[in-house]
Parts: sequence; structure tokens; C-alpha cells
Amino acid sequence: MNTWKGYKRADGAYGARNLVAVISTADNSNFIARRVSQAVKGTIPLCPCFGRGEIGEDMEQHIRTMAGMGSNPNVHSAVVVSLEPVIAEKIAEKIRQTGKEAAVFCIDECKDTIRCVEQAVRAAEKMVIQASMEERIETSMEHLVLGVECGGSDTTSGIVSNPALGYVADKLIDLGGTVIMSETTEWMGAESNLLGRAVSEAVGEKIVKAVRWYEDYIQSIGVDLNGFNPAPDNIKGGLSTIEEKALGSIKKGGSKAIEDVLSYSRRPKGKGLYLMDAPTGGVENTTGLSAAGCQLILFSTGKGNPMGNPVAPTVKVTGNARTASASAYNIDVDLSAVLTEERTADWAGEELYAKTVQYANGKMTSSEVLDEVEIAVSRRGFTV
Amino acid sequence: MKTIVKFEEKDNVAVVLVDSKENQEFCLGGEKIVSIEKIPYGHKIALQEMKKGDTVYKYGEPVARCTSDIEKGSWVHVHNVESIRGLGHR
Repeated sequence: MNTWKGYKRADGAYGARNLVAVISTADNSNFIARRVSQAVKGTIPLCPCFGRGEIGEDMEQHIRTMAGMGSNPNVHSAVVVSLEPVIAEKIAEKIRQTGKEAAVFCIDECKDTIRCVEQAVRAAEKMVIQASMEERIETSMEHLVLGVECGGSDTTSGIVSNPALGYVADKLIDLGGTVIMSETTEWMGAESNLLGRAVSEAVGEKIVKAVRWYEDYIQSIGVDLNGFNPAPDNIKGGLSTIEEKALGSIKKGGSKAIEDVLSYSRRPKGKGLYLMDAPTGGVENTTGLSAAGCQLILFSTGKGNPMGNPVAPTVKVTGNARTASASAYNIDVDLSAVLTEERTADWAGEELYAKTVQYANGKMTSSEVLDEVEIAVSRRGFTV
Repeated sequence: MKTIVKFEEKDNVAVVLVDSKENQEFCLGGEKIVSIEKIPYGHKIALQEMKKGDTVYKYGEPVARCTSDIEKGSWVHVHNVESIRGLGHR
């Protein structure tokens, strides 16, 4: 299976899904986006926290991230709803640059909520009908950008599921594809492995600098990271320290050379393995991955975590037989036979690779069916 | 079914894959290791005696520091080890 089937977009990328995005520019317009999405089948609402009152780099990051999700190959076209048109047009313009249609509707011009919802619903309806004419066509794995993420980790994550994600990451890169691994705090204690794989000293320095930023921040606010990361559920699952969690966590990125360290929600410029400097929370993290263009995310879990990104289908993978059984309706791929039946790591990797292709081809994940649509755009400062 | 996993030769802990009872015997590459207390599923067992301040190795890498002396066969977790990194409160 060295090919998959996707929707070809004007910029040459391929979508694993064919969505119409209803993007709210800030929290003050989320209710409009939700109502539009509820009214039109085939749309997804993208509703951020904050957005209004962000300043400097945070505002730039907010716009880049919302536009990044709208520009994701999984999105056919987008409706942008907003209080005012300036930020909405900035987001829409970035989406249009990828060749997609993006229409803006603002309270400022529509004058009231009902009229804004109505106009946006009319636009979204036309876009969904247009999108329905698209057909999947066969393409190579080099057109797949895969995000790897873990959440609700326990010791089985480092033994079974993260190594299986790493196997898929290596295989995809051998076939010309791209993989993004993030969660900077979980590089802490695993630097010797990562630095040895950086393509240049400059990339290695970026890794060190990214981790140091978090260590300096932890120092500046005077907290013990333990209890926050590892979180209480990780500790209950047997992980005692951030170093132990990190060494299990980075296995999900495989063993290939690290091409570069991207800042939050930025797109990789080439193929291969990239790191993204992003916080570890699943929703915030997958928002950054989907905005960077990942069409699919493999999400490894031990204790279970039901979240899913609305733009990039989020495939839940576990090596914990108890979780696979107790949370069967939140788990997409069960690899626990590695421990219960002593199957090999290669078996788990091949099994997961085959499933990855199925999900890229359109098989729905549990979180898609259950309509999980949470996003959270990362920021480093405060709103003013 | 695997009941215990050790990753690298250098490791001084292993992971148990059952809810271990006191005096439960595990076989690790021909060697026997006996738990001296209950150890929950997925948690670590000490493969040798360790002293306060010693480094705990898992995956062949340092993952923690002992905050008290640890007997062979003990449960190794947040009650007797701590992180080396991320200690902003000190």
C-alpha cells in the first residue's frame, strides 16, 4: 500500500477529507459559526477561545493558525464569520492564496446575528454542494503530512503505541512523506536522542532553545513540573517523571533525521521529519498540527483521551488492553496484542500503517463520528 | 502474556504488566525478581538495591533520582523518586 486516495486541491495538495470550514475569527463570533455549522451538513465549526485583544506575535499566531486550518488540504472551501471585517479578511485572504474559496460575513455589515447566520448558511450550502462534486483520486504517500501526538499516556505508550507510531513515521518518510512531532516539554530528558538526529547544528540549537524556554518559564513561576506534566493520569499510569514520559513520548517520531524545528502552526517547507515547538495539551497541540497542514493525526494513548481535531482526523491508538476494552468506542486501533499475545513491534507497526492508509482514504475515526470539534489556539502572552 | 518488561541492559528498573502482589515472582531473561510489595499494572519494580541520590535508568537513560533508599523488588514511583529536570520550585 504505497498509495492512498485523496481530493486534489488547486495548490497540488491532497485532502483526506472534503470539508467546508466555518471559521469564527474570535470567541465573540463562535455562536454564529456553531449555528451555521448546525444548519449545514458537511461543514465543521472552527471556534477558538480568545482571538479578540491578542497582541503582537500572539495575534499573528492566531491569524496564522485559523487561516492554517482553513488552508488545510482536508478543507474544500471556507466561510469566515466575524464581528468585524479586517481580521476576517486577513484570514480569508490567506486561505484564498491556496486556491480555495473563502467568503466573509461580519456582524459589522450584516448588523445582527440572525442576518449574519442566514447569509453564511446560504454561502456554506453552495460550498457543500460544490464540494460534493469532488472525487478521490489515487496519489503517492509523499502527499501525506502526518501528525504524531500522544495523550493520556501511561507506560504502555512507551512500550507499544508510541513505537508503532514511530514505525509508521519512518515508513512514511521512506515513501517520501512528511511527519510532524511536537510537544516540546516532552523532549525534556530526551535531548541526546533528538540532537543526534538533527540535520545541522543550527537545528540542534533550535531544539535546545525550545526546551530551555519551557524550563526557564517553569523556573520563573517557581513550580514543580511534576503533577502537571506528567499529569495526574500519567502518574497513575506508572510514569514518575517528565524524563521518563519524554523518553517514551519521542518514540512516536521514529528514528529519521530531524529536518527543522517549526514554530506553532507553521508549515514544513520540505519532506521528512519535522519537530514543532508546541505545548502538550491534546486540543492545543492538534490545532497546531492541523494548521501546519497535517491531513491525519496518529494519537497514541494509554489511559485514554477522547478528543479529536475537527480538520485532521485523529486516530486513537492504544497498547493498553484494559483501555482498548473499557474505552472501545473511543479507540480506533488496538495494538495491545503486543503485550497480551507477545506479537512483535513490527507486527504493530505494519498493522498501524495499514490502518493509517484506511483512515487517509476516508474511514471515519471515533472522534469524527462522535463529532468532536474542539480547537485551542496557543499563545504565550495575555490579551489586553 | 508478557508480565514484565526491561528495556536496556543498563536499566535498574523494569515495568510490571500485571497488578503485582507482594512476593510475586517475575522471570526476566532467566533471572528471578520478586516483588516485596504490591505494584500496580504498568508501574516500575527495582531490579537492584538503590541508595538515596542514585540515578534510576529506564530505556538506558536517566529518568529519575532516588529520594530515599530503595530495596530490590520495591515499587519505584513518585513516593521514592523525583525528576532531575523541571524543578522550578527549588
